[in-house]
Amino acid sequence: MLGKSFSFEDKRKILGYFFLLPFFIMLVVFMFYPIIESVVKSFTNWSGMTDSFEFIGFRNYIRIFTDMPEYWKAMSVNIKYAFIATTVQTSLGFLLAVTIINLTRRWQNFFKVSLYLPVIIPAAAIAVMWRYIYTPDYGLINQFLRAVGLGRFAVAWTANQSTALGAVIVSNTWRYAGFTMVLYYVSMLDISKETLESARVDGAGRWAQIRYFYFPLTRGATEINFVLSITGCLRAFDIFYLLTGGGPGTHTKVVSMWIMETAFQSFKFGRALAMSIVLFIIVVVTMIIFRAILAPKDDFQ
Amino acid sequence: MTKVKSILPIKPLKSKNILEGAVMVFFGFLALYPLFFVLLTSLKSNTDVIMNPFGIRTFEPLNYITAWTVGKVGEYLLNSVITTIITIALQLLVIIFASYAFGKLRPWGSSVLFAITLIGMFVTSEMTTVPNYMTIKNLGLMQTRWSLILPYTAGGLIMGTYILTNFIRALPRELDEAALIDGAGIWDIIVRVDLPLIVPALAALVIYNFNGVWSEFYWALIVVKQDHLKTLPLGLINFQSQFTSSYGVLTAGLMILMTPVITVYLFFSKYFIAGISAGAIKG
Amino acid sequence: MLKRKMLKRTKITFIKKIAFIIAQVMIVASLISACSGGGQPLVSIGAASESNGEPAETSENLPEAAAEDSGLDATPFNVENGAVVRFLHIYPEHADAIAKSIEIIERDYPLTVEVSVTPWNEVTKTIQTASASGEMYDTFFQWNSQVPGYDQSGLLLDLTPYFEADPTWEPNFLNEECLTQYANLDGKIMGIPLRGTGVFIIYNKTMFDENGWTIPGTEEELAELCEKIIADTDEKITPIMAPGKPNGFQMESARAKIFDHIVYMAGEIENPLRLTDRMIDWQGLYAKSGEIMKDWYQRDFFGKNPFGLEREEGQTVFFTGTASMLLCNNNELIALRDMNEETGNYELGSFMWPAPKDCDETLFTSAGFGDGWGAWAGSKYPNAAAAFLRGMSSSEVMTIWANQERCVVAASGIVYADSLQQSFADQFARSGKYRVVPDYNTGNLGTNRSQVFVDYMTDDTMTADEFERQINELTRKAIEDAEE
Repeated sequence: MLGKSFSFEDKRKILGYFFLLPFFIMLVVFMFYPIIESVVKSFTNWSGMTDSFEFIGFRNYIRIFTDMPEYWKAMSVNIKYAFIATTVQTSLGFLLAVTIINLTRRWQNFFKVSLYLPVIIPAAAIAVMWRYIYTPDYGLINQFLRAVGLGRFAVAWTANQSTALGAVIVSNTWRYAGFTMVLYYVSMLDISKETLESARVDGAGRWAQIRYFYFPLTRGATEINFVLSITGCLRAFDIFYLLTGGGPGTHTKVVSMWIMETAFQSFKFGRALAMSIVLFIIVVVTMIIFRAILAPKDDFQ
Repeated sequence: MTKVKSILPIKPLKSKNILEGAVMVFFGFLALYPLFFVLLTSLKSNTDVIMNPFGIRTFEPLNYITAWTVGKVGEYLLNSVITTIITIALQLLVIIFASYAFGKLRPWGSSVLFAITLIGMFVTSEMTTVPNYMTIKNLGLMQTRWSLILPYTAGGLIMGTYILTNFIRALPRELDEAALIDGAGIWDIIVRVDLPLIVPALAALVIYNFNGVWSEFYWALIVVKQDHLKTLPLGLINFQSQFTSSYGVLTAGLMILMTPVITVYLFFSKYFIAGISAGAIKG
Repeated sequence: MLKRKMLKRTKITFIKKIAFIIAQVMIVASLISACSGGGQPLVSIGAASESNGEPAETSENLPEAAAEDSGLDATPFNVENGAVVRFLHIYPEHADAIAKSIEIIERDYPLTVEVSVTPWNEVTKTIQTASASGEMYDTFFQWNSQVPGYDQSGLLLDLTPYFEADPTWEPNFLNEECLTQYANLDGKIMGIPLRGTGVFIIYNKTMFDENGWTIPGTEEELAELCEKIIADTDEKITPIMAPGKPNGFQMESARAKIFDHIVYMAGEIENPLRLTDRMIDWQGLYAKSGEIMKDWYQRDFFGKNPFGLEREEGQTVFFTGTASMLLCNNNELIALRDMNEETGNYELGSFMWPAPKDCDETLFTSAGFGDGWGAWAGSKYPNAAAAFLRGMSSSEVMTIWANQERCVVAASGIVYADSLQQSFADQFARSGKYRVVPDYNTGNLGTNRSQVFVDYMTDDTMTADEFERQINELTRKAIEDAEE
């Protein structure tokens, strides 16, 4: 296609290296160096308090795989959470975007603003809000249930084994559905209007449009949403800490909470780093798998 | 292929859409209500917050004054503003260049590099805190703004680049080709053709990263020890204690914290639209 | 062709606009940061005032044993010249008391204090990061449970020589036990206590009088009282409000009180393994405490959803008259008083968790003086740090904490104005006997045990034996861990 541009293309590639320079410098200093440092320290018995440590080989890692059932129990919580939360918030985001894209400009603006707002609210505010929604005695949900006569369903949402995880998922979806929606929306803007017009003229109904156009043509956004969501869920901490504290008991205790406790309460930072790295590897592997499944084609009409 | 971006309705509103509309309004309300709740709480006295969480019987705008003084908002606000603006600006620069390189220029080996950088997205705070602290210390940047700005910038790079690269890759090549045929040079293509098309994604990134930097708390807590460098979220800890919490004042502080973020959001969401109409081409 | 040119132009102007904005931002930002970046004089609260006592000398040596009777505050520690004590505390809500205390200390000693504050749940992280990077604070807040761990890492300054140099220091404290309970390792004093923490039952005296209820004398009577309350009020009033979030919280405290008496009656209260938290086989005693709690819980003695309520919610339930008794921490007193004024304005009283009928002693082992301060072994100004701590434990400073912040302080000779506070203080006199003081770094053992407790209480399939088995296992692991 760009027949006569051999050197032009090369010029661009070289330019590319320059463009990447600042990016990599920052990353090496603030991300990769800490990773390496952490890997090294994970083979030691560093307490996190002082400079001194001794190398103890793979002991931390072996311990994780043989003597830490709580770590894997927490991992199962994370995995369950990741699957459900991702599915819910991505589907919801998609549906919202599909609906919005067909509305008038004013409505689009209103919804974009309102639905995205939860994303930018700081965690402390989220904690305040949701506690007043979930608290058993005078919380919003329970007051509402009692008012309509469904009082027997008024349980302690974040302290009840069967509802705690669901409560977190609802809160998380509220927070991030807007984000997934915006990503889908921006991706949908790229879909050619004429294609959709001709489809409609050809008699394609709403569902057909979604199935054959909106869904496949936003695969890029789907990939991003899935990857970000799943990896975020596997590493979740804030929302669990604020809403359930890992409760009741250890029912919704996620891996990050264990890592945090091991690092800052047990003074076993080396072991905590090993736990972090195991989590890290699991997340990376998951991401690779999902990218392989969902990778969008580079060129599409 | 022709490409038209438009936000005009594709089909006129029908009765089925009224149901859709109602559902959407419901979701909109769901999304906004908790924010409204925080606002309401910030106007009540502490007892009122406890006694009737959802109504309002007292009116205490004084909470905001208390939040402003005890939370040292006056001092910390400017710090937050400076830190955040510089960080976002730096991030944008680095991200745009890097994404363009990954998305379009694609130097040799860049796909491998891209995959590697994604890995950096998953570092945990335990892994980065102490090493970064030492780095900042060794660079002699402790007790300066850069102890905040540099790590913050680095933190937002990967995800921003990831998203933006994907969008750039999705841009059709024909535009570049057309511009090339028109005789544009490398820079022209970048600035005049491609940049406007990614503006919607840029706007989304700015909004997201702005929030991340503005409300960042944990790193700032560890690194900043002097009042003249502290950012806004650090002032909020004055309202949450071990045995009591003054929710009225706390939520007032939160509202003060959130207002700039929301303002930035409202401002930048215009660029969704501006970017769209500026990018419309036909031919 | 024309259209394309027009659109191009719009694009270009638009891009120019964005570039212009970004450029502006960068220019402005760099101008501002150029002015305000870089080192500036450290902020301190109050300048160093004239010294009181002998002139300060720069010395790394320990102070001479120069005891003077001229008063508690005049004892010289040979505070280093130009000493700056960096102090980390966790009480944003007590900022006023801290400021006043520091004023007094700076008045009495030739040093400057630099204050940092961090939320109570971030203090360990803050200290760890500071310590790992060699920029630790000279004096800081610590809980007694952290002392073994900190000591193991070599963090703590040994205060014993300073105590020996100043014989007026020790009598300042309430009793010998509060000092030993707090931070005494192998006979060395590694920190000083500030205030006591204990879980008390406060009850709504107004409600009790109205209904003719009486304070129970034994644990069995307490159970009967709860039954009576439920029956008398048609299940409307929660007998004992014990917020159980997070991690069991006051529900776990209740269990611990029941447990102490069980252990006492089994004759194991002074078992050295128990006293050092090394017991890994409770032989059914722990299970028994769980069983009693579960029984009470299922009879609704603690209300319907104790594990879903946090501290404030528990307080609210109590002060709106929906509960008759509240399990609370004495440090909540200020909040409780304020809330009571605005809501029910009830008359309040307090009593200790009663012992069972057959038990001849009412125990209060878990209460004690667990909040306090420590000093850094690697401080540049160890004498100043010690002097700072000495200043914190003077009667003058302690009185501020007692009266203004309504704490039960670890100082002697304090008369409390608040009647509830006084009753707390009196109960504290019995505190700490048979207290468990681990001699190893327990890490997050306490949290883990509480979480297993909540699991047991909320899971219908878990047996008491399984509960105890898990507890034993956790302790065993923690001991192993500490010995690595």
